[in-house]
Amino acid sequence: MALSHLRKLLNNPGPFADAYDPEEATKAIQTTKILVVGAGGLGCEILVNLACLGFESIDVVDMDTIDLTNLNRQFLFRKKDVGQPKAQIAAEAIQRRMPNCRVTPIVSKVQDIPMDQLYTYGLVICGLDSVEARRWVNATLVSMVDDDDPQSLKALIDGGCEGFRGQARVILPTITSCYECSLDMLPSKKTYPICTIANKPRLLEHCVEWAYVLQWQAEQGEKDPSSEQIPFNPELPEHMDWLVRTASERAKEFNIPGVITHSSAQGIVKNIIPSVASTNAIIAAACCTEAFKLVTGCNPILDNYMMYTGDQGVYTYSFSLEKQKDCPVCGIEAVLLPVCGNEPLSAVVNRLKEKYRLSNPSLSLTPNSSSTPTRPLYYAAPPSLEASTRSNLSISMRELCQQCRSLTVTDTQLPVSMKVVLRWE
Amino acid sequence: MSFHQNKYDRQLRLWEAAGQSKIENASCCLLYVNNVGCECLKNLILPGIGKICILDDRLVDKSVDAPNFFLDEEDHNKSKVECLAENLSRLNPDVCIESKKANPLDIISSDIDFFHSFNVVILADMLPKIQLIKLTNYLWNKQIAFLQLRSIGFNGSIRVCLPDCTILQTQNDASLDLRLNMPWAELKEYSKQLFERESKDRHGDIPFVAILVHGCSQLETGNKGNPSSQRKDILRNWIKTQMLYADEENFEEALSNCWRPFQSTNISSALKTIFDDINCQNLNEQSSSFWIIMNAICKFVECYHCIPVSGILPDMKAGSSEFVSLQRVYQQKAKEDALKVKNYVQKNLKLLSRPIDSITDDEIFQFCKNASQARYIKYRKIEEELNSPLLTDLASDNESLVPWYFAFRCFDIYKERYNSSPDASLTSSIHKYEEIACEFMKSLGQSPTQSVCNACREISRSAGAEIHSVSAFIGAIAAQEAIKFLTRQYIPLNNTCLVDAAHARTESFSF
Repeated sequence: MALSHLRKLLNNPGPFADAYDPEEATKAIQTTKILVVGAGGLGCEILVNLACLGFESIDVVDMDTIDLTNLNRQFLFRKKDVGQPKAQIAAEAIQRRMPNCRVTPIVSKVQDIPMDQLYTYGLVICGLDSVEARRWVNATLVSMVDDDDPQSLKALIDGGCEGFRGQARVILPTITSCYECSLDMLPSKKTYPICTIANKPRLLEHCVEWAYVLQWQAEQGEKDPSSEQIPFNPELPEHMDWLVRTASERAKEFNIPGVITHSSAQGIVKNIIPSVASTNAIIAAACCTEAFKLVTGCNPILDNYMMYTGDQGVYTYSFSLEKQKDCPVCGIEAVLLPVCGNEPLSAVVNRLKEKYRLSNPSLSLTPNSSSTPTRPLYYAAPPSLEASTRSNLSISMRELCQQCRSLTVTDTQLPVSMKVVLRWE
Repeated sequence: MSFHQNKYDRQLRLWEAAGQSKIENASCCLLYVNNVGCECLKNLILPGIGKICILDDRLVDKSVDAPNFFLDEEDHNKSKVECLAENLSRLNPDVCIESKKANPLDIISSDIDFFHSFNVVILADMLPKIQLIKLTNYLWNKQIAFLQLRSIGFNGSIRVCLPDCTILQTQNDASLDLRLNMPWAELKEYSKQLFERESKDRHGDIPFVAILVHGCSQLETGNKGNPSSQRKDILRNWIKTQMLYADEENFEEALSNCWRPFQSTNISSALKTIFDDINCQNLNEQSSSFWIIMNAICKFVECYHCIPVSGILPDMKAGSSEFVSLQRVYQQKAKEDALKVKNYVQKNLKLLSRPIDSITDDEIFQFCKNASQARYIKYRKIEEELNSPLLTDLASDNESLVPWYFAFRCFDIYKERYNSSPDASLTSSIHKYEEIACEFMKSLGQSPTQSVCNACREISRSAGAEIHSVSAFIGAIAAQEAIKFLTRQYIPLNNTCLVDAAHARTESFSF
């Protein structure tokens, strides 16, 4: 068994650990179900580490398929796997070599995992490259927390890296700083002023930007003004060939020296982030060490953010990021409301009014992602909206919002809107 | 793009084709198979290192070994190196992976020339002091990089020893030197032309460099003798008078870069270190092109009191043709400076009886372009460190990870003396470890502090066992250091990184 070689470690608490039971610790490793979000550069490393640390029950979710450019670091994949779903191939690779570890692939967006399934995990580890997905996982786990139910608290370990830099953090939803608390730490995307792109290019990047942002559309319009515009797609070789040719012509026109390659052009269009095996391994390993400590209690956990840079020597810095009181996600406690499918919306409104001393609440369905619009259920004001949503009050909850996870409640008594997580009974 | 370019695309963006080629032509030897060693190899194989050789005579023992993704149940009782080589080879068919069933101690004793062809040697476990010194001195003399890895429980370390660590592209440019304090004739002339243009609608196209240079030229005679702060103010006012309207962007840029003409071109301390080094001063038949060219640049500096112009211009608010022409002015100057350096290089080559074309023009131009980034990093030999580690004042810093260094040194002594790892579950073991700690600290003129005792207690928890994720962390850092050395880009660690995964901390030292 994977943990037997660490028996001595677990049996000797050492000078830094709070008291813990080695038997319980071992059992916890064997029974805790972990969700790994992402089966890419970080995901592959996380899966192997977790399996070798003795975890036996892991789900891995990723909607992507394997690409050739992944192979320099996503080491569970081979050339023959290109085109296959990452989660599936990763799970198979781990299973083959570590049969004691059960890895279940989920080939879908993490946002599509049902709440009741999320509830079954003890720990979530994210190796994502998407801010949006991270925010969703973070907000969902924060909203899940019910002070009366210790099991509802799922620790979130989040890792990210780029080139020779990266970070790992431990988020205890509602307790520590969450991902949303520190959104302003994210760097903003590089943009070029439009007049430079349109009229006064000086660098090769300006020419590439001009080609795919402005000229592509213009040429499409010229060819056939009536038909629908085909969006520029950097995955298509014909489009990329056109881009390199067109951008190079422009560079020549303005006497800008240098050569535009497919690689450099792709980097600009797709905003490609450089990535190497070692940095992915470092960050993933840091995340998994925290997972091990969290589950066993055999040493203190990271509180709560570790930055790493490796381009000039080796440098890490660990610090405690502060929880923001006004954080839109964790600034207000998560509220859990049991609902019955049969009961009408009016019953829910009344319960909310009573429990939270509200005067005249408005309810809407909280969107699942930033692209889905909010759906109003009942608006107490203004009068025109009240009139149009009044009929919803008599409709059953099941009919109105089946499967939905949470409501947003606003009221004159509340300083900000309140998110109410629904527990369907 | 070729298959190769596609596969390595994400890393080519960090070290480009030149760096990749160096990795692919490199060979590496690992002594001892364990988690941390395997993880280090994995992170060298994936980026495409040329050749790996794994050295160990032990058999896989699944009952004792830590779980290893590259050695499974089927490999039990088989040769560690053979099984590992086979499993690792699946990671990247480009890499040649060999195994040698031998005890590293025997190789060091009776066949040390075995190591002569490698670029990097990685030791993933401890060696007795005598053998460690013999090996590392041999590698030092052959200019082979050496890395030692430790991973025990939640702690570990990476020690790097790189002989002749000269790096041109450290990718670490503090601030671009536009040489506005010493504008040359062509630059002045070009700037003047832009201002004397008739059409005012291209006023906003004048690059700030030209604005500053022309401004300084105009104000030169009137300004003679004034202190630089006053001259800066006068220049600033002049710029404002030239603005056609408020917020004219290129003039705004000129204002915020107003300090440039008054910044003297100092030679950085890193460059001084290079110029002053005996390798630069005393060229000989063994001198590498780095030193030959740096010697030439040193002579250039002695003559002109500045380094060659790099020719690199940052983007700035300007018209296309104005910017491109300005770039040409800079590149022309860079070329002229590089040719002067080439002259010195050729004189050096003649003196050393080396063929004139043994250093290409391209190489010289690259050096001149990147000279401001260059570094020469001097490492202490392992033997020097073992005999007298460079220790800063310990007592003052409670947060420092130095106590772990002492605990590791004592760990090595323990292992060499008792042929086993300290084990917190055995009181006799704890006593022996504490005894060694007292001895060792005494030899440094100190007594073991509470931190050192805690470090020893923590390290002995696992009785030598590795935690996979901690080994993965350490192995990956080591691989990255090896890559920085092989590509000769970025700046390597000098020379030890201590890892405390119990507290998610690392700290770097030069012991």
